[in-house]
Amino acid sequence: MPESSTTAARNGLKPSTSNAPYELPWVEKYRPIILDDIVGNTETIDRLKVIAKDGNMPHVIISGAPGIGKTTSILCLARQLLGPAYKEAVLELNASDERGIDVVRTRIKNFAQKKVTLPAGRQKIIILDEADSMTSGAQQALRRTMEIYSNTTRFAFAANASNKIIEPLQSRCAILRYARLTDAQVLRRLQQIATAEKVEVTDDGLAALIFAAEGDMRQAINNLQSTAAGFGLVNGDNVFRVVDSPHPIKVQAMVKACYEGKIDAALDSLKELWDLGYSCHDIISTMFRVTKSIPALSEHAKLEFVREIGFTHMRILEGVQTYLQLSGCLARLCKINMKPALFKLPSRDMI
Amino acid sequence: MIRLADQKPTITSRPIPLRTAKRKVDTLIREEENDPPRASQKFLKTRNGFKASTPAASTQPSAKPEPEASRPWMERFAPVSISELAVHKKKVDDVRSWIEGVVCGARRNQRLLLLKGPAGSGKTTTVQLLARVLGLRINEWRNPTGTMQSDEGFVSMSAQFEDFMLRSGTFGTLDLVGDGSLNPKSSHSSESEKRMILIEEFPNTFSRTSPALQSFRKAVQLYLESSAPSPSSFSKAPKPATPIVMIISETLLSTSTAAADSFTAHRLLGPEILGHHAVTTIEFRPIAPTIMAKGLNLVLEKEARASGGKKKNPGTALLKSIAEIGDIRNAISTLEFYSLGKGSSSFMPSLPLNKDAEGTTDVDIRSSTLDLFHAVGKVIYNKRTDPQAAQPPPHLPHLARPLKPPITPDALLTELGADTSTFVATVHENYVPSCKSFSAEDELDSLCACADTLSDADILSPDRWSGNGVGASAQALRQEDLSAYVAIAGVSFNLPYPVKRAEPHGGYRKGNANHILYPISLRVWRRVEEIGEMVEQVVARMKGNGEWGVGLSGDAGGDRVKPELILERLPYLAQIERGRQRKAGGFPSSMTDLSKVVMFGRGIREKGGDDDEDEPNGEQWTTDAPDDWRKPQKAGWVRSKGTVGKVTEKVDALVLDDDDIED
Repeated sequence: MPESSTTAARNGLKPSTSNAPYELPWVEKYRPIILDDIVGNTETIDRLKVIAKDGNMPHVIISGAPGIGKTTSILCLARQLLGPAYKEAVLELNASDERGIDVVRTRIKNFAQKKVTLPAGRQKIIILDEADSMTSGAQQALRRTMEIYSNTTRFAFAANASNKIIEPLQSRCAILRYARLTDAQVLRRLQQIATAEKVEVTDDGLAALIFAAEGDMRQAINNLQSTAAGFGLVNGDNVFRVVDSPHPIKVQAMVKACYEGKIDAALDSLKELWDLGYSCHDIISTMFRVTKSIPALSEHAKLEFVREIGFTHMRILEGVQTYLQLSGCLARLCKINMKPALFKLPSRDMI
Repeated sequence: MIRLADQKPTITSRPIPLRTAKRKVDTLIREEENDPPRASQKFLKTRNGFKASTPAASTQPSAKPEPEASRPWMERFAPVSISELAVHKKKVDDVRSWIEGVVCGARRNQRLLLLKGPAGSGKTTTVQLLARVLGLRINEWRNPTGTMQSDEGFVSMSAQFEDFMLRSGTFGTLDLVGDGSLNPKSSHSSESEKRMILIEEFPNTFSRTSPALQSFRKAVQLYLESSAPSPSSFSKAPKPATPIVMIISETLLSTSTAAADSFTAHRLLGPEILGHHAVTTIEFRPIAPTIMAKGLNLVLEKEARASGGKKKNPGTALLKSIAEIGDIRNAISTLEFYSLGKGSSSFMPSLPLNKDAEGTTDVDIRSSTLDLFHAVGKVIYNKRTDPQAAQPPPHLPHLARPLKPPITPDALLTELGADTSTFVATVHENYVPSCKSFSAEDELDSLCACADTLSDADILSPDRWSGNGVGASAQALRQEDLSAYVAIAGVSFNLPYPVKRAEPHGGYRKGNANHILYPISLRVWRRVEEIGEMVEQVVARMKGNGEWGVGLSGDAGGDRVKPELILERLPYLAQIERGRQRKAGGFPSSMTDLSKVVMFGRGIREKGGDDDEDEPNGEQWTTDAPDDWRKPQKAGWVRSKGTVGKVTEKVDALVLDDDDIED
């Protein structure tokens, strides 16, 4: 990625490359260049800004769900810390690179030994993206390297789960945990991009993008781009066609029908979804997500619904991906809120 | 560390830069060629950095201030003397007396000291400082860098290791004909200096049967056999030889996922070496908050002196929560991270560690136990504040809850730092006292319902079938979410409101109703594994040539037969053996193994079981003492065994370990 002046990328509204011969993925095109542009996790980012200004970056582990800006913030930090020396003084390895124990022993050590002239308080940075996928052997081999070269080289790890990183490494780092992005944060950035790209977006289209992304900015932007490329107009239906998951409104109607005990209505909506070609996985996981968020369900109903959905999800995961399983699940959901007396067998003397 | 002592005269006589001097000394003593400067040099640097303001050091124009300042705090301000060490004094004394004993011959039959404990509990620093005080030269094994290529790498590295062990061993014995005086001043001038082998990097040993691991063990064993006298030749008073110190960072609290590949002394060395008579194990604990607080203060003072500024004051709340980390290295880097403020002598305002500000903990405390317990507390105290929007239909009145929790299970899960299985296990460990209610009937109802949902959550958890790789990972994640949701929503739905935690009964510890315990099930995995291996050893021996005259049929090691073997045959076998040995008078090591299996087998069944309701045997997490529950059994066992000398010695060594670090 080319170096950019700090003014170039204000608010992420300007693409980082101009006149590209082919269209870059928007995720790359609008990837923040400076820390100020990063969305969310303001407290941590503020601290990183201080480091970017003063230098002396500690070893860090940044952990959190995918698509919330872990890698981006490390890259921004490195860029701001090192300025023109960025190319020379940063080694970035991610899961697609080979990171076995040999790489740690040779490539990382060689880089750590390399001499790069940097201003005071600046160190070379080794970025290990998706560090939780490194083998523990490779991680073990890193321990010493981190200590020996700490006056010239600092490490930054990005990981989805910090507990997959071995304790001796955790012990050597400051651990920053990123929270999921809120819907509002994702929304704001989506709107900015849509304006910059002159895409026509409806409100329910944005809502659908946010629902499908579950706080993952990268996915939201990707879906936005695919919908825009495929349909032109970004509205709810088009988005759900692109992300290929059942429309939550239909699923919600189905769950509500169950709550009210209307088994026939529920089965009809299920049939409709099934005929549209959605897989069992898609339907059941959308059911779970919808059930969690319907405010009209009582606490007890929510718990029992999720429990039933859980068991069905488990069966489906084990390979029983049939219409029957889903219908059975709906029937049991209906039963939960019905009068228990209805299910009593007629007493003996009536027979 | 003799290098330090050596270095002083060098500096005063010739004004060469410190670094160069250091490197020279380093190269002189280096056994392994062209390595980068060792980690142990940090003490040198620290000293320089620390004393930069004192007049003596400032006369040295060559001391480079710039790279000094650029090192992380934990290296710049590492302890420079034993008194500064943030390790419990008794532990340091143990290590010291062992090393002294071996080097000067009080414990001539000891060869290998194993220091194990969680990361950042001061193991390496203790050894380094002690070596300096005792005037020992550290001979350190380092994994070679890039010397070997690709597929034959491991083999050649283990060959190098064998070579290293052999050479240092021989070297040691040749070298050590001195008078054994402990005075560092005299020892550095004479040639007869003492040495110590430090092994902190190990071959890549993550599969149980890898050739690297086997040859590593073989090399260590060879060393033990060759240099350590057998106990029978006790009287001959062997020459003091070079002791080995191994430092192993172990994981104490493990989740089911991490357990599979974490690194333990047992996995590395195996029962044969751990049970060897020349091996001593000292276990370090996480650093207690009081000691940690002192250490952190010291760091802050040093920092102020080094930077010439005012001492930074992070505020007691922050300091206190950092001090609870238990890992000093992480504590110091966390402190450093917080101190990176705009004004150089102030800490950033609006500290998110404040426990009242919910959901803004963006700098994570390592091990995330704080977050874990915080989150668990939210579930088991079942706080309900907001009015419930929806109620169940009128025919189900007993399922109505007028208020709802302020935080949804989803939000709780996002806030949670630990993985969900640990979380659910912790809820399971702690929900019982929350069920306390006025009428026994209600209490039992709530207990049953909670247990029911937790059991469902357990069935739903994807951990169960992780073996056969069901589904894509995204779907497994969804399943995990489902499972956690059921657990959280289920427990908080079924607990009474408001919660009034029951006092723990039965006089178990001086427990407080408000203590949250760490799930014991996640703690015993290490022990379970050790015992499993011991059983296998015993079985193998029985299968062998019928050493004990027990003909064991071919498939006796199989899973089906094992319980029977452990429960019904081994205890009697141990009894028989004991009798036979008493008659014969000897005490072979096979006996120790056998009794251990029998003894521990009982321990695990009693204590590690799932009946926590009857016996709240989890530990209070603040004391973090995984070994304590073993203690009573140990004692009982000693009593019943009477005067079997060697075993008692062993047990004594263990009891010595069991001190409580906390003041």
